[in-house]
Amino acid sequence: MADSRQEFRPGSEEDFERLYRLAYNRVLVTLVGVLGDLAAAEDCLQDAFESAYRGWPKWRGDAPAEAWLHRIAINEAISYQRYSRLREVGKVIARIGRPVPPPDPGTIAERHDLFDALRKLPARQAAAIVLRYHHGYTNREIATALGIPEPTVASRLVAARARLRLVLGDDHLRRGHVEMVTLAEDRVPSD
Amino acid sequence: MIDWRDFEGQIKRELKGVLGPIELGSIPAWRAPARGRGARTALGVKAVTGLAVVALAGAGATAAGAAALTGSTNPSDWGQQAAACRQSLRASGMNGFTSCLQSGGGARQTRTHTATQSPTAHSGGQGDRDTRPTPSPFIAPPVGPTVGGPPLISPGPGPGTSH
Repeated sequence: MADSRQEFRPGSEEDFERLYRLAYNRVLVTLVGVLGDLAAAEDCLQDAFESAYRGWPKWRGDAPAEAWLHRIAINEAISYQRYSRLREVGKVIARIGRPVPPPDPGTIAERHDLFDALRKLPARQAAAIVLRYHHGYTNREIATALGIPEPTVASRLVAARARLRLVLGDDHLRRGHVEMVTLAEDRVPSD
Repeated sequence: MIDWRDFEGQIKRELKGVLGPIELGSIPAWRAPARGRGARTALGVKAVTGLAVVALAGAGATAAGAAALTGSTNPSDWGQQAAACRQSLRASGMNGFTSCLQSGGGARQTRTHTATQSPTAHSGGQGDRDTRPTPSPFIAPPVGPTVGGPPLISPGPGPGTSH
């Protein structure tokens, strides 16, 4: 983690700027993992930093500042996601009966199976995965960042991994099924 | 292809591949937002705006009323006419301020008329004008019904003429 709690003084403008510089990209990456969209992540992060700035004088320092910042940012991302889903529902309703445009070939070329699967997880599970496997957070830090009790973190991570396997496994099972069928057809005698 | 035996390692590698370049990106400069921003401030701003709108509407209504009464859109005329009416009513010991305002042109005409009649009245008119903070040229009022009865402005010297 980029900070230890002794390094930052609540309410200090100078320290907040330092926290901003230290944590910006790390929190941004977490939000990209949760939202799967860089522009949306940047917007949420901006809002999160504004909220954090307002709450900075009241920051108690009982948890690492970056984890505290993560918590604010993840909450922003969750709110954003809810709003986006509502907007998507509106779009779907408006689109009913019209043909769905084909997906952009460029997007397909850049696809990452696991990263796409991450986006299908609930926001807090996706965040837990990024915090653990990308940032190397401890359970305690993840607990602070997600606003959940520390013992819950481990089970949350297990659930997230299981869900990832399920999402990825579905795709691979389907592909595997196609391969099996193709192999079986090849082996059928042609008499 | 997912390596199921090293799933956690696979997650790390995938995240590093996708998120790593983003983490190395440039950081925009921090610009501290103004203190006190937020929902409460927004509500406060809305309340202040609402009050301002109400006040403006009230002022607009008052101005419209004054314009209708005096027959002029120039605010300095409203003050002039009101002051003249007040003086004339005080001098004659009569009521009817609104009627006096409505016939503001008449009052002025009376004063103008009397000014041509006697130098005393003229000096009185000058005295009136001296007491007014913002003298402005006479603007002919719209033609309207004339109020009957005794003259509203007495031809005698006004309070401004006393030395």
